[in-house]
Order: sequence, then structure tokens, then C-alpha cells
Amino acid sequence: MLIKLENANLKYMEGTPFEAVAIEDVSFELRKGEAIGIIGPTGSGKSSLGQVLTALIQPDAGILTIDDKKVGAELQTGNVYKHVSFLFQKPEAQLFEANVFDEVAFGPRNLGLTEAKVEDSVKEALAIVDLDFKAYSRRSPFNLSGGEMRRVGIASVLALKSKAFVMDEPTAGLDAQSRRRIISFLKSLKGKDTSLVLISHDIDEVLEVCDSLIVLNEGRIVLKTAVKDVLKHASFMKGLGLNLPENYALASKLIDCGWAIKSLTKDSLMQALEKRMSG
Amino acid sequence: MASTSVIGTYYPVQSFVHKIDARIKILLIVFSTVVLFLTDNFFAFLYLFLFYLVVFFLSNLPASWIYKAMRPVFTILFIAFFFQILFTPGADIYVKWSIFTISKQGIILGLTVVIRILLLVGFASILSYTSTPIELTDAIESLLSPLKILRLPVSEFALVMTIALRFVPQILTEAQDLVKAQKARGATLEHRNIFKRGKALLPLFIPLFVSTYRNAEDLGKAMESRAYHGGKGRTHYKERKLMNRDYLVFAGTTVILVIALLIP
Repeated sequence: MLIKLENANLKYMEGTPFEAVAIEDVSFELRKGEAIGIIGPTGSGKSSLGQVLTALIQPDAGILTIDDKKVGAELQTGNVYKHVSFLFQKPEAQLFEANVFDEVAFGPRNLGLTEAKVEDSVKEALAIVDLDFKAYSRRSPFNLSGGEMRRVGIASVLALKSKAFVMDEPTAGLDAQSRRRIISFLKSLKGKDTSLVLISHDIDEVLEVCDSLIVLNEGRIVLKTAVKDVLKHASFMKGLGLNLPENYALASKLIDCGWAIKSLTKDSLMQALEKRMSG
Repeated sequence: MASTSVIGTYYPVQSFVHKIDARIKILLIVFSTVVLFLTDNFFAFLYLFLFYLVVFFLSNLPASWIYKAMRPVFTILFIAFFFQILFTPGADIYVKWSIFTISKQGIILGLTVVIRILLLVGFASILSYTSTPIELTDAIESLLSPLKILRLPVSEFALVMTIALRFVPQILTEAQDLVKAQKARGATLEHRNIFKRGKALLPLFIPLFVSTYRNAEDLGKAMESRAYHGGKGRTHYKERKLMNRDYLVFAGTTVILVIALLIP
């Protein structure tokens, strides 16, 4: 098991009038090569769970195991980043280096890689976020547009090439082309045996990338389901304000009618429709 | 518990101290500061500490917040204490080495400084726990209003104070998030070597300054877009009037503070 969290509880500002339950009795497992989506209404504890899974927040109760090593005992919290990387919301807010190259190279250098390997990681990470290495590597990250800064922030985490990524809203605020690039990268992780936890408000994105999903509400896991079975829970999710995209119901009905559609996603539906129309 | 920072935080409960007008509380904080610096009597400090505890519990605040209020100044106190001990010349010398002397007078002065700062922070924290930022701003504006005759921008000054108070928790939250974000990229923010430690904090301070300036710029634009034009001609939604209770508290506390100066 790559990540295993057992019965975790977390409260903010405990013992004050501001006390808030972030997560309550949450257990979670992520296997090698698996992609799990976490969705839920605003304030449901998605980001807190992501940070607990990467040991950036210590829960009040619960046991976290990464790569079969108990965090805090067999694996120091400061070394968790070597196994699992967390991508924060708005990663552009963490930029600090003088140029894009050094910014993206910060993580790989902390891993102790040679400069040649660091450069390879930087090139690869910038290519994923659609930034040209030659054009951008010597530019100051603070002179870029908001969208470009976001992509540099994402690249700086991708460059760690971890066994698993926990990503909090990685595509929020990106233009359509960059978003597509990030999503195809996330989908490509499966082939590389890299695991993924995708925290997102965009259900369509989660359903496209992930194998299964978890729905959080008020800090508790209220639903665990495989993506292929998600339609069975459509009304329950609607009750939480999580409406499934209409193309899901349409694709499902067409599959029932014998159409050859690979999955319920918008892309698969479009491909099937185009094929029918051209054929 | 994930976050324990309480600096600049208002604690929303009902209490006698919460009900007292913020102007009175500010004036009493000023008086208590004067008294703390006029006395160096340890019995007077003990008396003032007991008074602080009484006010604290009248404020209906959890006891753990006494420690939380004082914790941020522990490092400064530690440094101040040792500087006082090592560099204060005195008659009763215990240890003398090079330019350093440890004397009875140095230890007493060190302890005096520590107790003064702790009590100051304690009294000031009660003010921030029991008064909302709006109450504080209105109080500062009201207390400084005589300066308007000299055409000083009193309302703007009060607004600057409120914004500063309002941004303290936000900047702390951002700093906590940044620490986590940089640790997630393998940053080591703690080093034993002071130079390495300074360099290691760059990934924290640079983004924090950038975001603080950006927030300030955004706030300025947002205020301008909502037609903020300074304090001239602005009225208050709620006019605050001093009540009998406020006058009594002011008189009673002043007497209590003056007694501290009379303790032999």
C-alpha cells in the first residue's frame, strides 16, 4: 500500500469558539498506479485531507503509513516529500527564485540529484505544463502572467517525479489548452505506475482522470465508489450539490443502446458521436 | 490541533470586560504601561499580576489563552534577560569574565524587564481578545479626534490600524501554508547555522512579501472602486456612548493601578 490512513481526526482551533472539524474518522488507501478523486462541497475537508495524506498536517488522531512505513516513527515527516508530493492550491504563491529554472529545480536539488538530472527533470516538467524551456528558463517567475506563474508552480512540484502526487485543484484558473495538457499528463501517470489523489471541484475532470472517487461532506467520507458506477449515486450526489455532468447520463443511455463508448467522459462521447456522424 | 496562533484575535463570548467601551480599555492599557515602567517593586508586580488574572477571568477567556498570548514574546524575553544579566554592571558581582559580569543587580534588572514585558503583553492581549477590530478603530479615532484640529488624518490612521490588525491572522495563515508548500518541495527551513538558517527562510519570506504587497494593492483598488475617499465627511453607523459602567471601571481600575505605585 502506498498511502494508508486509518481513523484520522483533525480539528482546527480546538477549544476555542473558532473550533472547526476538518476531518472526522477518515480512513483512506491508495495503491500503486491508482488514481482516486476527492470531491465535496466547499469546506468539506478536501484540502485538509490532502495535507494529512502528505504529512503536512499532523492529525489529532489516526495513523498514516506511506510505503508501509509509519509516518513519524519509521518515516520522518520531513522526508515524506521523497515519496509523495503535494501540490497546493494556487502554487504560484510559493514562487521565490530568481528564474524559472531555479524555481522548478528547487525540489529536485533538495532530493540531491546531479545537475544533469535536475536539468532533465526541469525540462520534462516545463514541457508538461506547456512552457518552452529555452524561452522561459531564464525569465523571472514574477514577470510572468498569472496563468504562466501557475504553470511554473505546478512544474515545480511535478519535477519531484514522486511515486504519488496529491493535487489540490491543479487546473483551477488555467486556460483550456493548459488544462487539457495537465489532464492528459495526469491520465498518463497510470501508465508510469505513479499514483494520484486528485482533489477537485470539477467532477468531470475527476471522472475523466480517476478510477474511483471519494465524496467528503462535513469532514466525513459519505461515499466511495468506482467511477464506472458513479451514475448509481447521481441523486445522492445531487443532494450534496454535486451534480454529475449531463453527458454522463447521455453516454450511459447510449451504451445501454449498444453504442461503443469507452467511458462516460465528454471526450469519449464526442469521439463516438463523431464516428457515428462520419460513418 | 492544527492551528494555535491567537495574535490579534478577537474571542467572541459574552463577558463584563467585553462590554466595556474600547476607549476606556485603551486608556487603561496606557495607564497600566506607565505604572509598569514607574515601578520596579516585585510586590507591585505580583499585585499587578493578580489583578491581570482577575481581569482575565472576568473576560470569560479560556485559561490556556494566557500562555498563548505570551508565547510569541518568549524568544525576545529570553534574549532581553540574558543581555541584561551579562551587560549590567553591579556592586554584588557573582561572575566576571572579559566584558561580561553577572551581578545581583543584573539578575534583578533582567527579571524586571521580563515581568514588565509579560504583563504588558498580557494586558494588551486582553484588549485584543475582548474588543472587535471595529470597536478598536472607532476607539482610536475617537481618542485621537482632538488632533483633527491640527488637520492630522486621524480617520486614515485609525483605518491603517484596523487593516494592520485585520491582516495579522491572514498573513500568519499564509505563512503557515507557505511553510507547508515549501516543505512539500523538500525545503529545510531549520538549520543550526545562523547564516544557513537565514538563507533557508528565503523561500518563505519572498513569497510572503510578494503576496502581502499584492493583497495591499488589491485592497487599495477595491476600496477606491467602492468610492473610499478618506475620512472627511464620513459618519458612523453606530455612535458609541460611554455608560456609567465605563466610568466606574475607569475610576476603579485607575485606583487599583495607583495603589501598585504606593506598595512599599
